[in-house]
Amino acid sequence: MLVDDAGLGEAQKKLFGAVVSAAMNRSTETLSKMTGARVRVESLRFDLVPIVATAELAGGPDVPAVGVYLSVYGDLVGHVLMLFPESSAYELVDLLCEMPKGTCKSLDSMGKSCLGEVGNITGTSFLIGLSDHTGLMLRPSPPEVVQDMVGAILSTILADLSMVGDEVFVIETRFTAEKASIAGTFLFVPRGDSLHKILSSAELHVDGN
Amino acid sequence: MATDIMAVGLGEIKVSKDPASTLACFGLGSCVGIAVYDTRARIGGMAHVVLPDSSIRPAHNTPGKFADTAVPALIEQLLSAGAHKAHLRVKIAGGAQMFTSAPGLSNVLDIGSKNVAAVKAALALCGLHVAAEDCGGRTGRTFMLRIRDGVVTVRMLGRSEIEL
Repeated sequence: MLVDDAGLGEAQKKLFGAVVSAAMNRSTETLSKMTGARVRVESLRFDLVPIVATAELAGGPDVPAVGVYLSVYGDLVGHVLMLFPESSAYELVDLLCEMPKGTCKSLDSMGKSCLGEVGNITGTSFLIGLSDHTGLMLRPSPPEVVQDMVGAILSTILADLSMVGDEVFVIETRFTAEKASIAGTFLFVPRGDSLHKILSSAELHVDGN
Repeated sequence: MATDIMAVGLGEIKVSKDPASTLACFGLGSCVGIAVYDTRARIGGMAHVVLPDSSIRPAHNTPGKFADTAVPALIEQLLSAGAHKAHLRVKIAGGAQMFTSAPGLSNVLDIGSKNVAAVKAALALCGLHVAAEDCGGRTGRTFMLRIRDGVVTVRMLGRSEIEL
């Protein structure tokens, strides 16, 4: 983890890792309940990365994907983006609509709405998990579903973050589902000083307990 | 001939005179790719612009990120590499609107069209105009410039590759 550049000490990294893991586990539990497939976190990392290096996220900038985006408001601002390979997105739609695997072959408005709900519920679970460990009040926006190349989906989010700096703090979780070929990447990108707000609130929360 | 792909990442500027190379902006969304090619010297350059105006971050040291600084920096690098301004041909792509309603992106929802306008304005200030473009819409693009012959292509998901 390259968090040293974000000005985090060893203890802060550990605390931050624990808070984010707990929030992410809550999120994948929700996704498991929704789909009936046991979803588990395969890897979780949080790095301060140069914006140019974000090209490597979720398989590369020209890889086709389906993105479900939510803005985060309240005591901090940031972006939540779930990226699914197209095949995983289609299989998720089949699972949620209780259709045989292979039925969904492209995303119509029903499919988009289905995936929007996945993003909404799992994103909200993540934020509730984060809230539980920090006391921060966090609210998600309604989800927006975009199907395109990974780089294109990320570009507008990165344009927003480029207004304030050349590096972004990215929390990236890769998850997979058992008994279903579903994989995806869950990104949470706090904006501005939101990272330090999470940490200072988590420290206070630990002290308070 | 085997091609050496040189990826031009967000905010980067790259110039090449190697005939075996192809410059590429992969997965452009709201960003704009600028391909400039000297048709006689066969030198090409590409910039991957993220935002229209550098005045929002006066202390930045990433000229390639902003349209107003990327265009003159790209032209300067091309001229330093031996290109002549009179022989430069400019093509651009990108500037799509990827999201329609996300409230957390309200300040950048239409940044794509602003990027396109700012790139054209910066080119005009340098005395250049756009010979061909594939901009706007709601779809991402991969934009490539082949140094050997200056061929510029645009690829979108679900559409055959086109030559600009």
